[in-house]
Amino acid sequence: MRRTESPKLPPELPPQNPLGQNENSANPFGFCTYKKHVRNPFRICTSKTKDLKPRRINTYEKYRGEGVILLTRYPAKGICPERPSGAKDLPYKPANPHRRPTGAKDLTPPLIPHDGPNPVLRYAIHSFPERSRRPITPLMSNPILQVENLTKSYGPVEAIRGVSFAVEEGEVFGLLGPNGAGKTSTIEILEGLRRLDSGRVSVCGLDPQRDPEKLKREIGATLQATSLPDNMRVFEALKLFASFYERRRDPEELLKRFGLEEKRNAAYSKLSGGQKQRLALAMALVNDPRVLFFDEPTAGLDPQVRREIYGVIEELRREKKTIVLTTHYIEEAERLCDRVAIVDHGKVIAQGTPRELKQRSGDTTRIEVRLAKPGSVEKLKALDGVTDCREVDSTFILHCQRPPQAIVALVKHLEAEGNELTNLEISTPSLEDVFIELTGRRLRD
Amino acid sequence: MKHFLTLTHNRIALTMRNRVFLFFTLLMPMGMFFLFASFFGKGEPLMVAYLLGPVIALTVMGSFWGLSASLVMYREQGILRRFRLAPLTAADMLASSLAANFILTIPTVVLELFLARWVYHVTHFGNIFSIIILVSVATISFAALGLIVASITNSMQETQIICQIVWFALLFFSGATFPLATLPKFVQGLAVFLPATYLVAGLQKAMLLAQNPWMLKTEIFVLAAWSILAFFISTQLFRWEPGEKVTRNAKLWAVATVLPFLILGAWEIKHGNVQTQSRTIYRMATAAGEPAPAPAAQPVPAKQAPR
Repeated sequence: MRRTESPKLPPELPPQNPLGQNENSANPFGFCTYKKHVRNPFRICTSKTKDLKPRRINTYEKYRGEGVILLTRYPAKGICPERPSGAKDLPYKPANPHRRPTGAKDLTPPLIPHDGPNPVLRYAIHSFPERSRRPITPLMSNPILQVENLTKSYGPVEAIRGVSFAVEEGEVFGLLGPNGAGKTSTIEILEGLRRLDSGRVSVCGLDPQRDPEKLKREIGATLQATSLPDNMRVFEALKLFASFYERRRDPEELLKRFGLEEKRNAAYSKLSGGQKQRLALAMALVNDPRVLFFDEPTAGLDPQVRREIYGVIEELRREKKTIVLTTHYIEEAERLCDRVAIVDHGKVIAQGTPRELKQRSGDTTRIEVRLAKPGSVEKLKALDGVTDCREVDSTFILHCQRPPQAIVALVKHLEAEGNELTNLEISTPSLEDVFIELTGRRLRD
Repeated sequence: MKHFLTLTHNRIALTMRNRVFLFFTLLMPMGMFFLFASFFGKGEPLMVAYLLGPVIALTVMGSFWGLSASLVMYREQGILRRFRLAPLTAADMLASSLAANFILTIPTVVLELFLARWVYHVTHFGNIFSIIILVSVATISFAALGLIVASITNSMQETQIICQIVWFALLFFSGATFPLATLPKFVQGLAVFLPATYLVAGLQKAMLLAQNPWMLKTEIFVLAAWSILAFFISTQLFRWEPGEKVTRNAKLWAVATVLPFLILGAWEIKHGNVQTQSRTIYRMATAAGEPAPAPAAQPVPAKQAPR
């Protein structure tokens, strides 16, 4: 039984200093309350870490001043030197005893999170060192979706390592990153299909962990690796899924809109890839959702069909639908998204509008050259008009402000070295450059 | 509840479109029926009535194979994931497959009874009320067995293997193929732990001895208890995602579903009379015509189509 009853925890906390120390002494800790999580102490109280039993306190001593929040249902004696003046106690609500335990994984998040805020039962004691003082997510007027310090591991594999972002109503937000960056895990946590390890997530003001049923009525989504029964018909599928919702759109209208009228009675197995994807998009809209999630909407489709899907998503964008999409295509992110978060190895490494991100990479023209013989980055960097140079899989990428001069200089330099050009490509900056700059790798390695 | 009805309706529509299904649900049991009735029963009305028990039991028992295969296929192909996005519960999904299976299986049973009446002139069906109850309960409980099989297997292959094993056990050790009375003693000892034994025995008692539902309460109650237990456990173990693997705990829970029959089997061994009763009924049926030998040929085990 993991629900450890706490005889030490009175229904109300005595108002005096629980640590019995001077209220006015210098205090490196602050108090912070996250009400949402107060009701579910068992997420953090496990039989393994029966919280700050006195003999265990030393374990956590090393985190002092590290910018951590301590989660405890006991007065945090020893590690929290005192109760700061003005701190409020959260009202203690015992968790619903009938609630099912939320699964072993949820019961054992690290008691001390690696960084950033975390749910708090009763005391949240934290101190922020300088580097984490700035807000992680930009402040928004009306975020419909918020993710803070999301983490998720599959066994030893850390799929998401502290992802934070927020999405405003009516915008198209893209998660761009290579395969295995944690995009799908993130989006499926938002949809309520996976459980998170730690962090805070809210979609349409709902917690996907706590209110999956309510949430499902507010969102629409296309998934990766999904399908319908082979002999289900197109219209039948739309009608069936529409019948599950109270608020719904007319399946006929969706059929028309997604150009599936001729295929109305075709079996799912007889549809082409593009038609299947259009049906998936139509099905995501059956409940007239507030937020749409498209997980790799164009993966595995040929370029023509992909453009077709772009058209559909652009139309939704014009209608001011809130969309979160994941992709590993640069073009897709640039074309469809109002804002993009570039994700790599489970972390957001850059965030902003495509334009902002590109400006970050210098807003310079990019010349990619392949050479017959190995060259030196340093020498290329020193060329006239070249601002930066890096080598990615034996291709040199030169960033230059004045491409004509740079090319002349490059050719001269190569002649002098007895080297030769085997390939040369000139391109305007793209999000790929941002990715290369931040990770030193190409997006689709 | 509304979701359950629309899902059931959809499930039936999809299954009716599947030709393989029609073969396994309609043609296969019919073939079995005629094989048993003409070949083993030699067209003797009383013997046909006796063999109706096993034939109906085989028809009803087949449910579990198709149901588990389709559920696992739905999971493997990611179809369940798509359903998971909608506000549906595991109970909705499972109950709708039970209901669809029920509605699709019953007509075959009814057809078999009518054919027995018209083709083989079986005039006495004993207590028809008992038959209705037994068949209904058994259809649901064997389908629930299918749900349990689906909940403890990860892949289609595993499902097929387990179904194969379960099917053979139910088929050959329960009196469904060979009359229980003709089976070796140790098989009879094994048979008291199998649900199919009680279904066959119950049907034969209802048909030949015209026992009313109250006299068959043990059979009906145990089958019903089994189906409720299996359904409940399978809702608890239900997995939507193809990636989610079955845990050891889940397997233990699934094994718990055999409890009703373990208890009943133990009780039968101590005080029971299933074996003596089946002997009486067998003598009664065979005494009518010339003493029929036990069926020599084995019918082909019906392999249910994925629905």
